[in-house]
Amino acid sequence: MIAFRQIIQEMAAEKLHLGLTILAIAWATVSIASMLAVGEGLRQGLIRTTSNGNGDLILLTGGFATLDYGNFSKGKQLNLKPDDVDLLRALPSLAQVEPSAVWSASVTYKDNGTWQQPLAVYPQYKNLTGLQIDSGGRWFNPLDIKEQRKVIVIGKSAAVSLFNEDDDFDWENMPDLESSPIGKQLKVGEEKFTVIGVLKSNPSNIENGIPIDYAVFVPFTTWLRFHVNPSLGAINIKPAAGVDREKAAASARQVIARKYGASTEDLQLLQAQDMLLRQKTMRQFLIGLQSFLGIIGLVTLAVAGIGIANVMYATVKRATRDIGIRMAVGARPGAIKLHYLIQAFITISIGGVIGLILTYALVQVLQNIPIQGSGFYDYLGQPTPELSFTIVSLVILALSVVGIAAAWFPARHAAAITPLEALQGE
Amino acid sequence: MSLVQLKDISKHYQSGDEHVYALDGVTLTIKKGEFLSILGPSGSGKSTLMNVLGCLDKPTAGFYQLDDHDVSSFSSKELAAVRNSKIGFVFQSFNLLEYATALENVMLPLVYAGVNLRKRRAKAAELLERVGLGDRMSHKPNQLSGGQKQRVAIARALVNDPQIILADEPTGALDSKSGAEIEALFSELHHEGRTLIVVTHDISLARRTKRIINIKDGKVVDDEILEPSSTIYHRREGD
Repeated sequence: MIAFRQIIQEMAAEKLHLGLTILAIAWATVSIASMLAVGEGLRQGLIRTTSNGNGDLILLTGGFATLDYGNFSKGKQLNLKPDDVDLLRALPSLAQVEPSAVWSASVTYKDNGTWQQPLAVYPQYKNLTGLQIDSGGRWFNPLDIKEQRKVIVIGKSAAVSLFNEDDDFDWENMPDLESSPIGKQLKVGEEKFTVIGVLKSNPSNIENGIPIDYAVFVPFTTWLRFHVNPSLGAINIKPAAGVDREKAAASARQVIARKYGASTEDLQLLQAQDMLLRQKTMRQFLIGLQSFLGIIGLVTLAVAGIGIANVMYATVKRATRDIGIRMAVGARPGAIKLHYLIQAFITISIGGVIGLILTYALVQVLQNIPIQGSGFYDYLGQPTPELSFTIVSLVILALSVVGIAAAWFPARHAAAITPLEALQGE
Repeated sequence: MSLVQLKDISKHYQSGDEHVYALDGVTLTIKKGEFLSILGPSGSGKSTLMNVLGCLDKPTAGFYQLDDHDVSSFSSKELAAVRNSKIGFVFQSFNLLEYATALENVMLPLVYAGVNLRKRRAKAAELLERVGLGDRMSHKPNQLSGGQKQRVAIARALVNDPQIILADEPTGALDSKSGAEIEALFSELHHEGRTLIVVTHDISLARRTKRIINIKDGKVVDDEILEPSSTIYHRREGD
């Protein structure tokens, strides 16, 4: 019931307007699709950085009392002790419990130093936080623990700042290690330690936000050897699979609070930070950011839609006599409406396909730009724009909605013309 | 057997302060196979009458029966179907689609009748041959002379095998030679048994038809039968 050929002929007679409309739609499609792709890339990047390191841990730390309760008066500090770990390990809701302690001493090699102080941990800490050792080195073994050896494992960036001769340090553009530091001796305070391993570069954080690249590790027992009445920096807890994380954190706090005669109400005295929940907020923020970028794209698309509507109104006006002819020979109003809806559909499809192809090309180019050694870029999880199936579907959906809305009114206008006024309106 | 029956058809509208009676109680019967003209000066209401007859316009009051259907009660969708299947139009200004070829123009009514492409082409080509334009099928209107355009329009009017052919000043935009050709074509169509209604202000054109209905101020003032329509021709079968 539709003169399809004539739809094309009519469009071909409006090459300039058609071309501009297609351009507008293509541009709008590129903008909405690339904005969504950038947002998606950032989101995926964040998921990459937080899926290791402290990403799924609950960090238990001591603090200062804000309530007078039990053994604590306001302002008194709670120091976690190594044997606290044993109490927590008895809880079935916790899969893994690892202590960590900060050695308050600077790490130096010749005149160079590190930003972070050494962290004393057991070998199991490596699996808990997803650390990886660069080839040629090793992580702590049971013997290091047993013999309280003075060995040290250092993060990639810490190694660079310690051992590279060239000291023009650039956080944005990290240089490579000039030589292997394995076997070299450095100082923790005044004690000499032997480097046994360097960590693979990793943009994630551990503890309460220490970048893995800048961290320095010593065996837990070695640290004990040099400290009387030692207190822990933190207890890293991994809840068992499937348990309620908040309940697991609460029971851990309760056990420790009872041991020290502290209030479970005092959230400052004994803090349990769930890193996963913290990320959830961040992930939600990124979804929000993505929606925001999408809305900007959608507005661009809506503006293109107004363009489509305008061009179509003009087309309908110019084609008034033709509409009259069609109606005189028997075209029903519905057929006229469909005629212009199909015209709009073709225009939008061409624009949309061009836009998506351009976006795909743009994303390919961006994904292949080598960005390396930029700390900030690594920190973001090396995001690249990603044109996922979901995004393409969303873009097509948006195009359809805008297209139908833009074409509906001119098409309805065309169908409402009576054949008489159309033929007389010449 | 009457093909068209108009009873007290009126059409009035407001034009500024004035109430215009374009048609004022027109009663008329047209039989199948008639070749008649509606004659009147401009502003007499003859064009309005043609629009009503052609289902392009609805009367304000009155009763219109076409081929046993009460079309005065039809919706715009139903009227479109009536125009498509029962009426063929020939206009003074041809009213062809400029960007479409002669063949495509003739095919147009068949598109809306839902005929498939192969049949559309065959039927349209046959009718272009019939009006003597077999060699001009892929020409666009701007490549055709006035007379040729009008013959394309006549082919288009015939393509759906309509009950009535309505022609509004069909020779008005043509030179006298082309005009005469069109008149001859109309006579042929009449002899084939088709019903033709020509709307004109040209008395010499009206004189070539078999019946003249004179319109003035929206009223039928004279209905003159020039040649008794005793000869109701049988329409060709199979076209």
